[in-house]
Amino acid sequence: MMDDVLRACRMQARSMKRVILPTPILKLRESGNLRKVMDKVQLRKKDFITSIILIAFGIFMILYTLTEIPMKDSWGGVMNVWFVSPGLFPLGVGFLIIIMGIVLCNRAIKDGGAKKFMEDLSRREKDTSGKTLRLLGILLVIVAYVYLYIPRIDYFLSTMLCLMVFISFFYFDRPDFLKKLFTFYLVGCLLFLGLFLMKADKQLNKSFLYTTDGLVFLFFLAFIVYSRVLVHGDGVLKKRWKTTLIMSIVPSLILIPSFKYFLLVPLPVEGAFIELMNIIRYSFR
Amino acid sequence: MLILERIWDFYVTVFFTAFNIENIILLFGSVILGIIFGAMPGLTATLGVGLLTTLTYGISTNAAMITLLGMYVGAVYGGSYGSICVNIPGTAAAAATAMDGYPLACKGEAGRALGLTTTSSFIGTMVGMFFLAVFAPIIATLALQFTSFEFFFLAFFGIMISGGLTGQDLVYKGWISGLIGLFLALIGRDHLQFFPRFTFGISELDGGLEVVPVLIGAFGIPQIIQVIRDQLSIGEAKKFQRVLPELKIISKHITTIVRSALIGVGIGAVPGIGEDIAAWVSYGAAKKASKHPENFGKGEYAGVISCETGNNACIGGAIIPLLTLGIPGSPPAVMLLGALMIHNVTPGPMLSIEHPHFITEMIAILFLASFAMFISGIFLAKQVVKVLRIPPPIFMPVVLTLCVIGSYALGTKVFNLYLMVPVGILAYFMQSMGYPIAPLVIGVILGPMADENLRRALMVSQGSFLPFFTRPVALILFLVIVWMFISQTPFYKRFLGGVKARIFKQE
Amino acid sequence: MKKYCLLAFLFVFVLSGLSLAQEKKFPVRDITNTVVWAAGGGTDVCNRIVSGEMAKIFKVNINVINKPGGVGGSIGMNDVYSRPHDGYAWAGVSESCVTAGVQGGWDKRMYVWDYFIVGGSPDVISVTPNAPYKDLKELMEAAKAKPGSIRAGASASGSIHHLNLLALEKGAGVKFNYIPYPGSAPAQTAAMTGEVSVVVTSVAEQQQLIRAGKLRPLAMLTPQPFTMKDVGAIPSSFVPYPGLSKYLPIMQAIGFAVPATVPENVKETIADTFKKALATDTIKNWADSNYYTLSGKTGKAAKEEFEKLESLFAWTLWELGAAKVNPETLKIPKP
Repeated sequence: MMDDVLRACRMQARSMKRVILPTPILKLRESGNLRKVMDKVQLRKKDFITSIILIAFGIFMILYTLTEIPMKDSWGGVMNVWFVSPGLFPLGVGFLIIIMGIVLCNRAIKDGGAKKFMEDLSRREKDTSGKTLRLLGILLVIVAYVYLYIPRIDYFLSTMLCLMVFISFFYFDRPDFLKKLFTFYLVGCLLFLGLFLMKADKQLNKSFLYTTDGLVFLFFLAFIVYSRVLVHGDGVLKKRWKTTLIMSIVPSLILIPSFKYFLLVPLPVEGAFIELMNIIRYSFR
Repeated sequence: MLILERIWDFYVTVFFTAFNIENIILLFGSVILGIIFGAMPGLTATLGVGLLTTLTYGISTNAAMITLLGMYVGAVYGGSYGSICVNIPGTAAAAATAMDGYPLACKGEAGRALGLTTTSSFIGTMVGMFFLAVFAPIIATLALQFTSFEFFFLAFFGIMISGGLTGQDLVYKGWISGLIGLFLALIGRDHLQFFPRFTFGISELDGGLEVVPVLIGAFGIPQIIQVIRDQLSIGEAKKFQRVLPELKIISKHITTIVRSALIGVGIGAVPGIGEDIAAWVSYGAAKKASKHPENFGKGEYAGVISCETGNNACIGGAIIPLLTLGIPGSPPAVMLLGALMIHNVTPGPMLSIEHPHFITEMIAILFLASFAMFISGIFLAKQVVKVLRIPPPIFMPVVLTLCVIGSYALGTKVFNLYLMVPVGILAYFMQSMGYPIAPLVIGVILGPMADENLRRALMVSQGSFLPFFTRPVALILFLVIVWMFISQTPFYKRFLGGVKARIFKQE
Repeated sequence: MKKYCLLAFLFVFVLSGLSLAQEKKFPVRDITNTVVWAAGGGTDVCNRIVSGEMAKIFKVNINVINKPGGVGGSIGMNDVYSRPHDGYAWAGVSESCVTAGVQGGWDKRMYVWDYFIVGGSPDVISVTPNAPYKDLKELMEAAKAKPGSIRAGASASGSIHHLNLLALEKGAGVKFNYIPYPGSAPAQTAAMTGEVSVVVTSVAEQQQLIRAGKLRPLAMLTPQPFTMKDVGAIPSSFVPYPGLSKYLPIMQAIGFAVPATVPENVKETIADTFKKALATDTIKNWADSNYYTLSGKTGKAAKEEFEKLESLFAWTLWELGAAKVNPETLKIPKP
């Protein structure tokens, strides 16, 4: 019984060998396997780069620990010997990161990732799917919201602006609109960045209360008008534009007052709009 | 006699609370608010209890406890909504639920997954309550067995688990992700000697990285980017399953439920660590014990059930040391302690003498809260699945604003947002290269615990490693870790295979 | 278009409304008390209770909110200080806030504030019940015989309890093996598990454990003894070691503060109401049952207390190497 099975296995293996060995690459492409192989090499190429970064980072960690963190001297009133040193753990983590980097590097070289990396150094591929612009659009929205507006502009206004821009970028589902709106928003953000870098916002706010809030609000209105102009003449898109406008105002109107007045969370910047809310809130008492 | 008196107290409180319309409104209101809080990314149980503490100053102690426990139970349960529906865990406790909950939702089984989490959360809370009612003094004594030595092993154990949560690609990518998490945890002044590590003179980094912004960054931002960039539609429930408990599935996983509940209560009772670790350990244990560990991460019911039972059982566990020793067992319990102090109740060993009915009242409120959670859960789950019908280009921007306000609200620091974004972008690129993200978050949660306790333990023992092996609980933990490690090596598998073959032959 | 017109109109309305002249009477609207520590902590609880009582007298709401973070509560302090100095924004502070300066989170001295000190709980040194030391003297002699061998737990390096421990070490000429913990509660837990044998925290934090017999109090780190229900009097450490008076007491000082540039009449109104609130039974009962000592210092006396604390904390932290900014650059005098 057992022997029969074994024989069958061997037979199968032999037959498989016969099939696999002469398989031309063409055949693999047909079955879609080549794509997978390509992807894997592509991934290993990225792994190769990552592994080098990891090794470098691990070395940096160890060097930083050895030079910056005291291994023995008394610190913070605690007796300090090697085993209580704050450098103990970083050393271990850095060491392990280097080991993992080496393991990953080894694997990437075996699977041809390193070779691919060398090959690709000379020629560059172009992305044609438009996904890069989508990615950039998302990143621009997030980065501008968090780094540019929240620290300086009224929280309500920045949230409204962020929602409006984010939804209009992708809800219209038109790559050409995305390009135009992206450019429009990017230019606006760069202008404000310049303003903030020159510290002009503080001067303006000093001479007249909430000037920068007003400027950003004008930008917000301009964005609304621009997007309205874009969708002009298209019934479906007009409807979507309306939804966008509603969805940028309503969630902010629910979220922010409930945090401010119900949960008593102080918001990052309470500018013109939140002051307006305060006036309304305290007149009903 | 004491027990009879307690049971009497229990029923009296349950009835008085249940037949007071104000209390019922308060209970359901806070449970539903808790579920909403839990479901929203970044708004955790800790934050919810903390914010409500502010509002309970004016009301009676009993009503305050109803509000806060309702919030606590609701928020720990509600975390699963975000995990299952959008793959962004609402709370750190629900991060483990996302491992299997989201794949289930992608298969169109979001309704069933939510139903399972509702039932298992309910069972978990009840088990926790039962232990609080019956074994509180014993568990409190056991919790005192945990010193720095044991804490270190516990943290190490959690980090080991993270190594097993590998993604699709290479096995050790999980480890790399975990190590990056450990590095992130190192940033800031170390907690023992206050020495700044990797802060580069930026004083905002002195306090270290908070878990919530890292969690939101690591889970939320990659998900937002991926869904929008690749125009994914989140797995909409094709056919709606009933959210009522499916007893067949539940009874099939009864061992998982019991195991996870015990783990949850145990971890809850240990001071200082909470629902998040309970969920991960339950998940890891369920995976270890499962006959099909390869199905975990692809939508396994046991995965969802284990972590939800675990994290809710943790609540009862966390209240045990709070009430008996005055030591909060989890971060939300710290807030609960503050709330009790505001109401002039100081929890501790004298509590049962100063306020004889208080513990029983808490048990009764927990009992009612878990019922309220179950009922509101069943109603809400049906509505929550509908969220998936909102087109992603509208839904995801709103999720982003929630992520931002959530990361901000706990520490009220804008700097947390500055950290959230780079962590999110890093996580996005890591994910696209086949690295699992969960170990990174576990690393950030457990890194300080491992670091601090290892060094404190050595400080206590003056450099001797001996107590790691002479203390009974430490030794047990050590043996478990060793066994876990060996069972992952090929040598052990070969050995096991050999043994099996030999037995097979004899037959 | 109507919507936009309306919005624009409202915007202009706000701007004009805000530039109106300020009101004379105080208070006419809600006051916000921003506690710079997390909800549920000692400072938070204290501020909530006092604010609650003061709100009754003022007949306006006092919203207590929390803005923790930074070093020594610097984020909350900076936030309050950046608001209008009109007496409507208070900062709920404690003695540890004085460390914000040397830790690089606060570029001013502490005298830019005017304080209203509610009080604090005195520190006590305790041992585990099975420890062989029956009183402070036995403990100190054991510590002297083997310097650095007795494990003493307290909250993090540079905290008030650590400073108390340091002062005790200096005053009595002994050395403990100091083990830091993230807070008082973990330190006390460690004492119960036997990880440390000596613990220094406040009476309020320890009372439950002392009364249940889980910790044995040895001495108060204040000049006066302290009487506790079920336990009796805890002697002062100054009796066996009079030299301690050079370094101790270092008392908690919890309360709230307003910027010093707030108009004098507003500050007076607040101070009056504050004193009235502290005299109410609610506050007295709360203080008694929670083992707080009420202080009620305002004006110059309160300012002096904080300046003393500032110089003590700043220089101790600097000597410990736990400070970032040299206290000299901030012109903080040596204690």
